[in-house]
Amino acid sequence: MSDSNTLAIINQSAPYGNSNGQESLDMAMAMSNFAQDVSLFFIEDGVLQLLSKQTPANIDAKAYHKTFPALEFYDIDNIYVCKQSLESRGIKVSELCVDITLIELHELPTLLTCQQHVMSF
Amino acid sequence: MILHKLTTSPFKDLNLQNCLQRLADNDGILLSQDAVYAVMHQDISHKLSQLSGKVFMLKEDAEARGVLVNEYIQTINYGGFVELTLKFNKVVSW
Repeated sequence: MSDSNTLAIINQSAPYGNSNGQESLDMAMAMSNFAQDVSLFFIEDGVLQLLSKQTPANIDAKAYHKTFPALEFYDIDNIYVCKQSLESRGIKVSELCVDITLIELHELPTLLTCQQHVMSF
Repeated sequence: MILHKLTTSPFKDLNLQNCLQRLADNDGILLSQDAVYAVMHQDISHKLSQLSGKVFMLKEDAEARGVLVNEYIQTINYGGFVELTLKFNKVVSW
């Protein structure tokens, strides 16, 4: 197997307002099925997808945030979250539904340069 | 008496900020869908706290997103939303 491609998926949309969050997660899992090395980045409103206390049943939406803790079984271990985006929303890391790595604003570009492909949702 | 209806996140666009600059005394604000994240926005949350009694939020949308409600915001359900639109004589969507 040649060394697998590296793919970064950037999430900057809030959940439920549009389908970006769900589609991005589906993409991540699909790509990891094809032995792609997938890393997830959550910035701006994207960090809101990781809140553990979401109960979307009453708006007929799927609680897809429950899938994030299972991503390690898809060999998706690199989940980066923007520290400033959490702070500006008053969110503590303990309120997130999965283990993550905090990154500073300027770290995003450096982390992205070593990725072969980048997709933004 | 205008009910201002907001549906997008104030971190994503300036609809709510723009609305707050054009509020008459007895106008109301309804936060629904992603606009419920306004309570997480420090500046806006502070401005909203000064309008207590005139800020409403859709309960289902807040619960879905895991947004905690502050005391100065009244939560309503869809039925309450309809009543609200009857109480105000005009609804402006941003």
